[in-house]
Amino acid sequence: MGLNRIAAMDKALIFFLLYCLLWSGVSLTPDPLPVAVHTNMPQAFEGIRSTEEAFSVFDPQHELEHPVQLCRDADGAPRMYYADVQTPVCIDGICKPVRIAIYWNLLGAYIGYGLYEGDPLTKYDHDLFEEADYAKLHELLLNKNAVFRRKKLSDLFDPNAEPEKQVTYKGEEVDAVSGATKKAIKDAVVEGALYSCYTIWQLVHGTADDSIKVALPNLWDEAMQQRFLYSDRADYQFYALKQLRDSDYATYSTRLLQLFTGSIPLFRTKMLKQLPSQYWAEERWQEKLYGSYGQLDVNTRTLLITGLEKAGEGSALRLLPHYHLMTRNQLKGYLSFWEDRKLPADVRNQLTEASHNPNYPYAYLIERFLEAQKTP
Amino acid sequence: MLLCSSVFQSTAQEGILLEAESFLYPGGWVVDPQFVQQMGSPYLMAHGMGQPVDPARTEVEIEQPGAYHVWARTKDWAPGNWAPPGQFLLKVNGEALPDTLGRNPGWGWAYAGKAKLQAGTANLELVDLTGFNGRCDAIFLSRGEVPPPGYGKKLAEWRRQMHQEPLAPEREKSYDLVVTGGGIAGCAAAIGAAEQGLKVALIHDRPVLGGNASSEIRVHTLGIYGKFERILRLLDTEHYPNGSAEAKKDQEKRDKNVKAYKNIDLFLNWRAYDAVSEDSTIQYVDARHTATNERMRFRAPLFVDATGDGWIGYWAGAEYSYGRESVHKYGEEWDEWGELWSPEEADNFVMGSSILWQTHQGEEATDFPQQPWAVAVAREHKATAGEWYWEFSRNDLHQIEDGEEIRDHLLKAIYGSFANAKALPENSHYQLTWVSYLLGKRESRRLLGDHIFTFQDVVNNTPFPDSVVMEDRAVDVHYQRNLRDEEKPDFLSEALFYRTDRYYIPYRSLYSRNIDNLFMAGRCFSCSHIGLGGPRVMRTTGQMGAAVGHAAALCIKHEVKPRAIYTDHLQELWDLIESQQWTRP
Repeated sequence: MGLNRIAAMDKALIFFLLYCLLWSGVSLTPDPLPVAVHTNMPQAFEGIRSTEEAFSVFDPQHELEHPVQLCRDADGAPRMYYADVQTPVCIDGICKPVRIAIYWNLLGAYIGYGLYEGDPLTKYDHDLFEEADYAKLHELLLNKNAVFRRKKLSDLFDPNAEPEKQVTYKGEEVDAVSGATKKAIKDAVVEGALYSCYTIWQLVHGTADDSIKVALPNLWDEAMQQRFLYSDRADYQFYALKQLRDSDYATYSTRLLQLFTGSIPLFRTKMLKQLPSQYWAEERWQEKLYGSYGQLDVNTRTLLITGLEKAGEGSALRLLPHYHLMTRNQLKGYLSFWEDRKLPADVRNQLTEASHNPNYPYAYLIERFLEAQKTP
Repeated sequence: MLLCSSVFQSTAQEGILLEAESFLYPGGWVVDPQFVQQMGSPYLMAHGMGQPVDPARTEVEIEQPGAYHVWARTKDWAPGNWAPPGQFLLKVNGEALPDTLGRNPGWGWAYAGKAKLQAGTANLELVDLTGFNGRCDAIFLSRGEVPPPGYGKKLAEWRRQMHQEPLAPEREKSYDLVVTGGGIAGCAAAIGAAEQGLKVALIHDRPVLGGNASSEIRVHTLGIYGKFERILRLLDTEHYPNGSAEAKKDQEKRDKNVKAYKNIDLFLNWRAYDAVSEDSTIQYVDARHTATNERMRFRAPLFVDATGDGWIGYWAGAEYSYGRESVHKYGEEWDEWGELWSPEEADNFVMGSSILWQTHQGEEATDFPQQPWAVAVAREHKATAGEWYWEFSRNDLHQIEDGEEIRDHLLKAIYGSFANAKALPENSHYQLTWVSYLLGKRESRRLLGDHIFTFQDVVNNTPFPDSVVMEDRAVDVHYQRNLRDEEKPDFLSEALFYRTDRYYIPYRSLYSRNIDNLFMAGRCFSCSHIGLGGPRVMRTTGQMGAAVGHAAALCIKHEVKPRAIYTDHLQELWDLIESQQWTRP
């Protein structure tokens, strides 16, 4: 399969123009970066103008060192990392070279790979990779918890090798917590290309991840804060969230409130756990946070209820129409907010109505609460 | 109080109270004592995996003939816009009372109907209608029309008055060591102490030993043996798939081996409900039989909390922790997984509990119709087998206090996912063989000792002068899949593994720092949330048990408290542990 055909098939193909900016410490790349055959982050490839050597990854299996380049855009902003990897893949003492371009994002996550002209990937029997094989390789590389993790080559290839941990019982393979079965390995890799898959995966998930993470705080600035926060990637958003200073919540309030409903549950719960108390007390924040209750996951809802002490009665009122979405303990938490407060008449009326709702399984708890309120 | 055979029946002017768990013939209903501390009593449950179970029957002595209002304390365990799953009828002398039971959300008294009774023996029968976990705590034959208090302290007080129970248990026993909890850790503690000549009580709330490793829960034992291979081989399991019926063989082995120790008094089906300390020293542990409700007080100079949930320490006033510490508290950061590993802000989002289950392929095709209350949890998920990652945790749920809701959520997940799978033609022959009704917990209270074992001790492979437990197993911490992707079922988890060389747990993590005669072994040992991740498996917890069993023997010998073994007799503990490895004393 020729590279042109792959390019035509893959929507995510991106071409890079180089030869441009020059400034101190930056190397010119003589050739364009290889086309990404598969990527899950095409935006990282946009507008790359220069690359510079950042660090190298060491491959202990072949005792080879591969330089890793930091790619910057026209503004000099870091966008991603790239390595031109040439490595032998050896089977029974016979080795053949493989050349592949590996891309990581600025958090060290693998985001794609590319091929060099005239160097397609091949299988053990020299058959060329097919379209589905390239896609499967990308899926495998995306999984940092893949079956290869902390596996030795011998565990995979030597049929007589003892597995690291006992994973069989009476001859049947057990899906142990600690061990991957042979079948799981077979399912995860490109058929006929186990060696290549293993070798490339080990390079992708070797030490690059750590080196990239260590480098990030030194690259971090306001522009990156913004870029990360406005990214559509959950890992970028989450990293940016963790870097926020108290005053940043005001600066980025629009985006943060957008992400509160748009991002993953982990983002929401983290945001609420670290939100400075002055924002809990702000009407605009309350309106957005509590107003979106119906759209949120269950764990975020719990944090909104425990946050009522900071957000106050206005927010508790805002939640009242959503009572029917509350779990048993969420309802208990909600009612306990009112326990030591004078119950406003409209809250009492709405709760009384709720206590008769035949469709809400925990209506009986509201009834008990109202009963207890009557007795001094 | 009138005790009729083994029926726990109490007659008072206002009526007759019968505890369901004391029924003479439970039939297909099982006794569930897991949630006594939350809902007030052991109860009977119709755990039929969708097939109605045989009726539970008992007899009641009627002294005053006449009309009785009959109430049953029960609950609808899956309330919603559908027929409640756990419905049953109550028959009196063969006649079903008119109102179907199991329909009230939240534990409370439900009215079954009115019965006219003659003086003499009357027969009561619980008739399961669904096979889906109907439950009955007690029956009250009332002379009046008002039901008794439904829950909480008022109910407990009413119950105590009805049964005319004095405050203290009727019987008392004394031992050198009282071990509460008959999981692998508790069994190993009892054996370790008994082999050194101590007279030991082992109190366990189930009919079989082993806890999570038992044939009732079926988790295989993981971890290494450390210095206690000889003892732990008496108790552990093969590495069969979790949930396998092979667990029954290891169950036989374990029960036989523990029962062979003459100086271990085994109290099976006894559940501790209180422990009282004076001047930071536990005086006694009180326990109650899960079916007969007989009570017993256990006195000893030393106690082991192997309850998993740290109940003995909790009642006695031992300091404990629950939840996930902030990553900064003990420096437990692992950059690779960040917040999923250890959060910046402390919270209660601990690892969840599991229910294992098993299926087989039968000769004929069978139906397993989808239930609306089950599909509400399972959604689209399809499965014909369970594994360890069927695990439920949510940040509004406490793994101890909300155990019943967690167990029930997992039952819905299992029945719903299995029904989804059964809708496919290729699964038509699958049948449920076994679904546990006992919650396999991973994490609950952790009692605090002189040393708190943390991730740092693992990362640094810290050797201690008192390293009585050792382990090679990865630190293995779980999170719920739906945290990263809302579309994932909320009952499935993902594991994060931190691989490491050998690490050690010091003896100082195995006794309470403020209750001076309390040891702990098992998942309630002194550790952080992340510290628990590696050694929470059962060979490791077994090592803890065996170690404290031996330490207890030295405490008795020297008439000292657990801390003094570290400060004054550590070499002797080492010598004892070394010497016990090869031969039984």
